[in-house]
Amino acid sequence: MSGAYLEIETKRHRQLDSRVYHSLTKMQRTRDAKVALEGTTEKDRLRMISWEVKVRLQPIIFTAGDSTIEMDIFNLHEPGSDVRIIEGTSQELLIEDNILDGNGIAIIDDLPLRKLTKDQKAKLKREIIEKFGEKVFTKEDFDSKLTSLYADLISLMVREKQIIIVKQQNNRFKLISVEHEDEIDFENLESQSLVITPRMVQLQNATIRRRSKKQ
Amino acid sequence: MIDESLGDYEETTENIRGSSEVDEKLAEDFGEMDPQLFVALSSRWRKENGSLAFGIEKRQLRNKTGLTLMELETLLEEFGKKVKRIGLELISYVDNNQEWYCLRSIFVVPNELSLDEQAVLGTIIFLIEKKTDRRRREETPITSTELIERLVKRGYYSEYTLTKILRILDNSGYVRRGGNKIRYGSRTKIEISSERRKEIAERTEGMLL
Repeated sequence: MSGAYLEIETKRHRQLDSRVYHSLTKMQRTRDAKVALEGTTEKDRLRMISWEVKVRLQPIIFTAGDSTIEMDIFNLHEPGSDVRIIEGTSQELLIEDNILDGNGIAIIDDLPLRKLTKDQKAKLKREIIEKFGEKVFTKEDFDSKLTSLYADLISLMVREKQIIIVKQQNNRFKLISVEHEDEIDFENLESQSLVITPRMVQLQNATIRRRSKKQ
Repeated sequence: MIDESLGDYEETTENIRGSSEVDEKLAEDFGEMDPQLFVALSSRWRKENGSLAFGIEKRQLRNKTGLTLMELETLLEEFGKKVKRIGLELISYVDNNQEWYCLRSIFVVPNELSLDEQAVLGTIIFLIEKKTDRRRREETPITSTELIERLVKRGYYSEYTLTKILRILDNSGYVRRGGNKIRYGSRTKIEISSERRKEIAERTEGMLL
């Protein structure tokens, strides 16, 4: 140890001293690592990093494949809100949609496909036009009012050309049923897609956008 | 002295009676309990937001079994002792303000990540640990730009490959991505303890020249 060390008396000096030693060792280590890595390829270095991870990782254990025991044994769906196949009124449809709202876990593979009869579809479509038709929304406004079922149906109705969604200025848009299509200035329209986000579901709808007058 | 030890004895027998009653009740409702617990604790689920959930939530376990908090904890403690014999340990973790349980290997054993995924995870650990202030407990997230700087601009991966690897790490719960930020996912925190993360950061420093 150098004689100068004996002269260091104050706490601050000691701190400074230890910091210098610390950075010296760090420098030395980095230099050693660089020397050791000379001549290695990228792949070698990646392999070394992955090795450092590999030898320290204690994985969570999963049992793979289907189990003989019913997986929903601990009722991962909330009690009382089992997924039901819809055959009744539209009221039931809304109840079923509600279970998708929470933060709970749903096993998507297990959700049955909804099957709607023609009458149910027609009824829901009428509801959509009553609820949204001829009104002006902002996108956020619209998203918050949509359920995934409505989004599905609106998407379908746009494809079937039963409704048209017109984008207006200030990021607002209007849902117009085809009966009122004479309100639209078709010569100044261009086609574009708009993503609507009903809570968790994302859907793409074909919409028609009004070209701004400046263009 | 004698009184004290007698008291202890009585308390112990009461506890045993309590837990055996619980076992009987559970066996009546669910059949043999240990296999059921094993399946639940070693299961994995996809949450609605696409992220992976592993094990089972405490609340759901209580709802289904109808046990009190104390009884559930005793049951899990017993189960924890049993699985320890086969090299596993019962872990509880908090996700989204909910307590979850899962099983983790006591030993370092092969994991399901590929070499590239492990290398990217190692780099993320290095960057996060380097950035995190050691005096604070919460880790500081890194941006994907920093990761691209290290791995794409220095020629290790193409941006496409890196994005693909990041998506796999995100999907399997190792990292959480929000906007441009990358944080540790709960799986990284469970599978690699904070000391080991620091070790990884130290050992990998300077490796990506």
